[in-house]
Amino acid sequence: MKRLLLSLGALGLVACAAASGFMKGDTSSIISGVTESTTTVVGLTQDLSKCDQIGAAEVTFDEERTIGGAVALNWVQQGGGLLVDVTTADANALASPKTLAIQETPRNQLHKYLNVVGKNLASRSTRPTLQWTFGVLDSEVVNAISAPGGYVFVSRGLLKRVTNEAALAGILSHEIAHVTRKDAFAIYQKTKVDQCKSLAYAKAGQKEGTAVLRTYSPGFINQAYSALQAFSGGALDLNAAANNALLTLFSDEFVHRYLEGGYARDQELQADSVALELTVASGYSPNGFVDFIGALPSGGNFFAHHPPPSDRVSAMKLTLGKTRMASATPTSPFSPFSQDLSALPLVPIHDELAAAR
Amino acid sequence: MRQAGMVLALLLVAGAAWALAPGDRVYVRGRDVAVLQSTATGAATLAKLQPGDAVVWRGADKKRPTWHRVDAKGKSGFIYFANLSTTPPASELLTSPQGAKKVDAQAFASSGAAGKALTEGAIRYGNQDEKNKGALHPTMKEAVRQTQTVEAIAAQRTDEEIAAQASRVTGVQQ
Repeated sequence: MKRLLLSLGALGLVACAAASGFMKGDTSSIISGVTESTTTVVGLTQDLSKCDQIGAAEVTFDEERTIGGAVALNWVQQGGGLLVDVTTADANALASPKTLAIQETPRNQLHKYLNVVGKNLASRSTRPTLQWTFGVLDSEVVNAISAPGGYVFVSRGLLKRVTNEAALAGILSHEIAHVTRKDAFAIYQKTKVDQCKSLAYAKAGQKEGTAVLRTYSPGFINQAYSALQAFSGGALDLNAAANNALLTLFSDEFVHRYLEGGYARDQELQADSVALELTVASGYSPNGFVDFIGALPSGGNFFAHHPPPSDRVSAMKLTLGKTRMASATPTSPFSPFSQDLSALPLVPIHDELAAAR
Repeated sequence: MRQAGMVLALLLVAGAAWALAPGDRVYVRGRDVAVLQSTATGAATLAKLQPGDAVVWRGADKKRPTWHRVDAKGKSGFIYFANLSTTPPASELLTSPQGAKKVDAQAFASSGAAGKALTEGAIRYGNQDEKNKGALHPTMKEAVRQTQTVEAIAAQRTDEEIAAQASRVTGVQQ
């Protein structure tokens, strides 16, 4: 069907070129117009084929980390910034995070605490060796959000509602689960192909491309198109300077689509299920997380795009009920649900967090 | 005949129950996980293991079944059950001059890719002029610096700190 539409579009381009020459009453103009349009059609077909290749390639870690970094910067900006006292170090020092001098301030202490809690949880996930980064957004909105590659953010407004570490662990684990399950990839892969095709159509002068990319300058479109033309298959290196315009096209649209629709309901419920497993495996009571979600009001700014809290709590209670039944005949001697869950602690929050609220 | 069927069914259930036999390979969950000489409180640490490290499972301790005997790094000792898993961590797809290739968690951890903070591409994205127009606060450039600061705070957390946090929650020597 797509191929048929493309053929019809191509036919349209050639016909327009011929008509334009005919109107001028000039045979050479007709021939040159048809030749030019045939070249455009061939170019468009090749470009669209490249877009399909880009979409079909599995996302590598390098690509994930680069797109994830760009997306994370958007979350930081839109979340009012990070609640951190920034370093004044130069670019060279910033490139070595392990040795970068960090000021000992209450806000930075809060981040230390959050990263110790988060990294303990992530070390039990299916992607324990990622460079996990946990940040606090300076926003009153109650929210938590993640970006591919290992970025997890919680808002100051959310921390105000957290009364124990088990709840915090559940919230962080839910976001860790989105990263380990690669939930963003479904949106990202489609975004890549759609943006790439819009670029190809825009260069061919077709409305479906120019309309979509209208916010970008012609110079920017040219840069992106040069990058697309240089693509010769394999993994797309979005980290390369030459591909910055493509990275921008993809990440801007990813952010837009995520903010419009978020993840699928099933992905959110699955992330809750993984969160329970990680929380319990780390030794926390699952009740901290379940009760936290249960106490959230429906609608408003509370976890926009997530299923209603009542649905999430019902699904989590069902999960816990199933695991309790399964624990009678455990499939693994290491199942975290095989222990007495009622004996697990909620764990008091640290002073750093209490002070930040 | 009916009795034999029931016995067979029970055996199948029992067999399927753990699907794990002494000598099987299992994997570590958690950072700086200690292999202890015994299950007693304050037992000596024989070795420290990292996420995804493979160990040979010997079975649960009879007196304290939440502890499991394993062979690791040429030593035989005990690990707390929640620090073990029957499945290895996910592999990662790394790019190389020969093309993309899948590597396990250990190879990934030692590849250098795992320690990456904001990539050059992401920094370039945030610092470009087009992204720093308008009245949004913070600017994208500020967002880059804030993110790099938090990444440094995250990167400087040690295995010991994370293991201490795990012990704080569980009350169990990691």
